[in-house]
Amino acid sequence: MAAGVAAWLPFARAAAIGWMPVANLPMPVAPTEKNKRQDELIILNVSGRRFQTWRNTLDRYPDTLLGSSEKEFFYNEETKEYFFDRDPDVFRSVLNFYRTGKLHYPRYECISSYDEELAFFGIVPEIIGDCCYEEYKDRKRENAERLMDDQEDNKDAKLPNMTFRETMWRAFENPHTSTMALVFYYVTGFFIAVSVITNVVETVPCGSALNMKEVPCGERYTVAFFCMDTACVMIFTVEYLMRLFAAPSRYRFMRSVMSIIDVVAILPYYIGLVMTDNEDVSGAFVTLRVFRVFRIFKFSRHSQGLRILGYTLKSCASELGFLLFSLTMAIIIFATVMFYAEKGSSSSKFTSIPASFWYTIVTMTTLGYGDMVPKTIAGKIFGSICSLSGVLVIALPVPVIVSNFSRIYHQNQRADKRRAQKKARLARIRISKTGSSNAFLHSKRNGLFNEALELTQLPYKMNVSDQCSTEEEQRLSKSTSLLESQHHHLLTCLEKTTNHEFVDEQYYQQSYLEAGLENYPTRSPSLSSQEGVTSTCCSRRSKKHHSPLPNSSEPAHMQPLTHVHHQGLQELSTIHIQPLSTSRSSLNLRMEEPAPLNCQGSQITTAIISIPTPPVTTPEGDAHLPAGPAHQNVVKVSAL
Amino acid sequence: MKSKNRESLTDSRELDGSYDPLTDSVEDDFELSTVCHRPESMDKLQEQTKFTKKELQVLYRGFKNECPSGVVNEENFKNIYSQFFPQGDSSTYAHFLFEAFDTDKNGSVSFEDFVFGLSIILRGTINDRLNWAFNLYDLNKDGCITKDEMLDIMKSIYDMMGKYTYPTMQDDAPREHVESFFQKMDQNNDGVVTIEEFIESCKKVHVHCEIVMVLPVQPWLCRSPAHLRLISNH
Repeated sequence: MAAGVAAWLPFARAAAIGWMPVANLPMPVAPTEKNKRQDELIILNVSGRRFQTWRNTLDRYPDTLLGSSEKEFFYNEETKEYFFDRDPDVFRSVLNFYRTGKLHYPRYECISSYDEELAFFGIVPEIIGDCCYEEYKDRKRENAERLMDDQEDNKDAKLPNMTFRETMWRAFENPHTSTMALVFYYVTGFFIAVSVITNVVETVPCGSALNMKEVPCGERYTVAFFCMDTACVMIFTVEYLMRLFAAPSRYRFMRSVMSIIDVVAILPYYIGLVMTDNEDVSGAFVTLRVFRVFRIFKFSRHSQGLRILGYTLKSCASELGFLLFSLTMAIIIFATVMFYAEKGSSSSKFTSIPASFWYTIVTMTTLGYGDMVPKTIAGKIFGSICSLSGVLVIALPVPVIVSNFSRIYHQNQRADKRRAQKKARLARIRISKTGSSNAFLHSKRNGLFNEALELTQLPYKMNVSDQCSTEEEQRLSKSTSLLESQHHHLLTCLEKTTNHEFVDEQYYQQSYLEAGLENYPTRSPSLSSQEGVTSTCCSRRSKKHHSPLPNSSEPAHMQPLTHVHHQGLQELSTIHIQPLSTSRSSLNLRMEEPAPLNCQGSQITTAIISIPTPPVTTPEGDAHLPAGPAHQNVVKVSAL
Repeated sequence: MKSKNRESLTDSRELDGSYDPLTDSVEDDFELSTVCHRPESMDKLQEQTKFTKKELQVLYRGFKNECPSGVVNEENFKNIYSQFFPQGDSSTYAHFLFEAFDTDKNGSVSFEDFVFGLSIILRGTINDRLNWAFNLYDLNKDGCITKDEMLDIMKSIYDMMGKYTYPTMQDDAPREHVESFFQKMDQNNDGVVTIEEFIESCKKVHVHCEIVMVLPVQPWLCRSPAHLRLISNH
């Protein structure tokens, strides 16, 4: 029973009093309402806007969020209301659905946000009322087309491990995928044009000097034209066979429009080869040559405009049918009238009704060749009526066709525009992605990371930085949000697991090049006194951003960076010098070396040198942090 | 069912019958494309997991925000997870995670699956957690981890790092990692790691300490923006 009607039930029951006096049998006992709960008001707080309704209203639809126990997940104990962090405007429609039983779609609302809200509240969109259903479906279809456009472009992305056949098919369907495909595309286009022009030129009379009779070029240069024709047909045949081979579903391909056109284009030639020069058959043979003109339809693979035109005609089939039908009716009527009107006049051209058809058509389309004209007065009157009505009949269905064409054409324009903008969209997506990774790298470099760690109350204490960095803590608590720091913690755990660090592209290129250059193993572990080495390293690190620290208490943190050399032969000796800033540190090492550098007033430069180690010194398998015995790796810290 | 109402006019695929009207079209008629799953009541979940009501609430809100239909399918899961690792490719690891969460193997993770998994990971005993980790590594769920399984897992973890790492990622980094892992874990050297070996070795190597210290116990006490809602560890 619809929700709205339910409210009238008490009235209907009360009105049953009219039956009581005339009833023969005793009435059944009225159902008592067991545990009748006092209906209570529920407060729904949607992003600050409070909606109130009865609990019973919501219970009408128990398979939605608000009608089931699912809403208890959103119950706020303190304020005794249900809080939803959603759009209050759309929620209006949702709540109205409970009240009235009809779901309305507000026209100004974006279709995808509306769909999302409906999905959130567990309402299926099919129940949108009739008043709003069409609008909803139209918008949804537009949106889906837009998505389909985007997906189509993704389809063109090359999949790995494509068989030769699949590659070929893709090359045929989308010429822009490879150079070969493009070449093939242009070559076939050229040959189609050549073939069509040949057919046309064949019939042009070439003047011959010797005899006065004009012969068409086709008969004069028979051999040349035959060779041209053969070449074109060979190309078309090869193309057709290749397409047939590459098609994923050969049966479907053979039934498709283009393949039929292909076959029709090349068949006359083969039939001509097979047939002998028989007199009676050659007439039919000539007719067959007409089909060669179908080759021009092969251009539809090459031209989008042709396809749009074809699609328009196909989609306006009903309008075209109506046009044809009404025209036929009018032609028959007027032809009959004209015939009988002109019957009286002598030497009239209107010999029969079918003969008058020609006159009617020529007049209605306002052509007016003038080969047939009415001579009687009645004929002239009806003739003028005929031409006037012709204009009307044709002018009516044409705008429908035109508007269809215009809609489809604009759709394609939009699709092309979207494709052009795709680059910009992808760039936007890429920027947002690199933004987050850059944030991590940035914070790593500036050593904000370990301070940010202080903000989280991890069970084990960082006794090193406790004393020193209170000011910086406060400074940093503003700059790095808790969530960012947690995200960075996650990324650092991953770094620890794999024993590699995240770096940005620049540094990666750099270190990649240097890895190639440096082949000599370093022996001396401590370079604290070698200024020379320091200077070379500084230049390498010059691109890194050093954040200036305040002059007052500077915590110097150890900067162990564990490097794992997988190939014992090639060692990468790296020296990191960060004279000013703190850097990220590995947590376990801080734990294990409690007697380190504490904050001292001066600037401390620390140098970390990696000692070549034998391979397989990776930290323990799958733990998030490398456990104790990671000392084989490579950390040596010396303070300068 | 009506056929498609829009052709691809941008290329000639349709003309060659390469456009499948049945599967590639925009459906004009409506299908019930929204699958809606409602979780059990909060009380039941509270009994079965170790979360308080408030935590369940916060968990559910985050879950529902990302997946309004109430279930996560693998694609969504991979999308969500990849937002945290912008530099690398986290899809393989996300796939393994998905398999570990989807205990009833129905191809989607409902809120109950999600909450049960999290309850073990965050609130379970050490043995429970190690058990869960073992279950994650054991890809074919046959009770033991072979070297190949471990290699797959390791590769997926290294994939998450992406290309730009320091030092440069070598191709056999995962393999070496696996070798050292097996050296430590496989005590009877039979080529596979069983659950008992796993738990024992991890306990010996203090892995469980890290698990306790790194994984959050008191989660979700803050309001988080949508995209970090799911794993806002504290």
